[in-house]
Amino acid sequence: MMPNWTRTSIFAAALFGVCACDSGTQPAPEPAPTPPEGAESPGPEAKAPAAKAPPAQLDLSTLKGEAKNIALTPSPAEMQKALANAGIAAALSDLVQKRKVNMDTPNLDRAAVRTGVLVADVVLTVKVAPKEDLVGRLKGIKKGMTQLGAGSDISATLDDLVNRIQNDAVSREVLVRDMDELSGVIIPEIKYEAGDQSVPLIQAGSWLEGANLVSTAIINAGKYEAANRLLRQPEVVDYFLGYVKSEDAKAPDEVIAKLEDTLTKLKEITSKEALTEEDVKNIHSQTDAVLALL
Amino acid sequence: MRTMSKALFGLVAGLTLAAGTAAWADQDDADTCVRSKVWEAYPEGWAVRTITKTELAEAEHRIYLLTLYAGNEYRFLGCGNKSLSNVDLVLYDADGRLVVQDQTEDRQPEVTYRPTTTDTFYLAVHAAQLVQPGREGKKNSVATAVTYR
Repeated sequence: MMPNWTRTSIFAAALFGVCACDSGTQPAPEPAPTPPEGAESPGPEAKAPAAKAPPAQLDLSTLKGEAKNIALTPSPAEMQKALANAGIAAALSDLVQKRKVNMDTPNLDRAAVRTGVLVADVVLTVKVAPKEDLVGRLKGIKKGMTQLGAGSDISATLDDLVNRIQNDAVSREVLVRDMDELSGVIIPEIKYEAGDQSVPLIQAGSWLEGANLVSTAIINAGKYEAANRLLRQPEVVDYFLGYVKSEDAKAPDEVIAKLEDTLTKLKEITSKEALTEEDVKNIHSQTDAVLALL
Repeated sequence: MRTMSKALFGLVAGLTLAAGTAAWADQDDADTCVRSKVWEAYPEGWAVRTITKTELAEAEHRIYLLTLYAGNEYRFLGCGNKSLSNVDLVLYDADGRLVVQDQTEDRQPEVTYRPTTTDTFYLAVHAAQLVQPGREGKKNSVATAVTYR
């Protein structure tokens, strides 16, 4: 029998296979120099090295000018992995609050951020959360997706997930993959009637929740030296800020105004060369304040 | 006459459908390839951050900005459709220095990297060579995945 995650993948691929693709137009320029000393060589997964011509070297202005942000933001599950690799044993799933996220809002930017928070919560707790909590979060995501005009396909996918959870027709291990796919593959590919800012704002909600939980874990562990490798991400904050400030954004409401204020402060903090205990506590209080408004 | 018109209509419709299906299958090939690699790697502890797809003509490239965590191990996977014979992946650091590149001459490149500091990086995906060179301007699907463990 075909595994559920494979079935979901094929289903999702069929639904979203013709994705929001971009088209490249830049010809490849001159060959690249050899990698610098200390660069890690390709792992055993890479096939046997051959005397191939090196791919084109791109200069910094080309890299900066043409880079797309679609893969910029780490997933909440990736934050958990980084936390463990930094020597902090805390499980972010234990820190996720059972918050009552009000999905009834006429402001679609706010709906996108709220949806992102729920996506982070479901990704982080999928292994351990009680069934009813998972189902409640998925239903909240579905409501947010509906508000954003994400189409009927994603609703059907979420309904399918809810049914499988309610009927114990899926293992938690399979659900981990399903949630990763939902968060990192399906949601970013959808075209939203609410506009192009929907995906960055969903990602912003997820990142804010993740950053809040990570800062909590750092504070609880007293390992402030880990902040540089876990929270210093000015480009991510800048990416979100660009959409919150976007002229295309709807008239800011209280939450979006607070989000812009928070992101502006976070950009300043995360741009520092080294983060201090005070910076971590500031990140925590700033993200707490915006999440509390949701 | 009427029968011939119907036959002609049927032929045109059939060819149109076949062309459309072939184009979709061509595009789907890269996507299916990269997805299967991603899901097959889950038992080994790999998880996916994102999968994305672009359309590139021969010698064109696409660049993605990434935030990578120190300590995490990253694997970047690429899959070109069957019209491509060579796809390349190249990772640069925030200052534009080449960090690692794939060493294969095929359409399914992979590179792994474990950063020592949390920072932004650039991943460049090159549609280096077509199976049948000279089809300039023909766009080809290239799917890319960012995975970690």
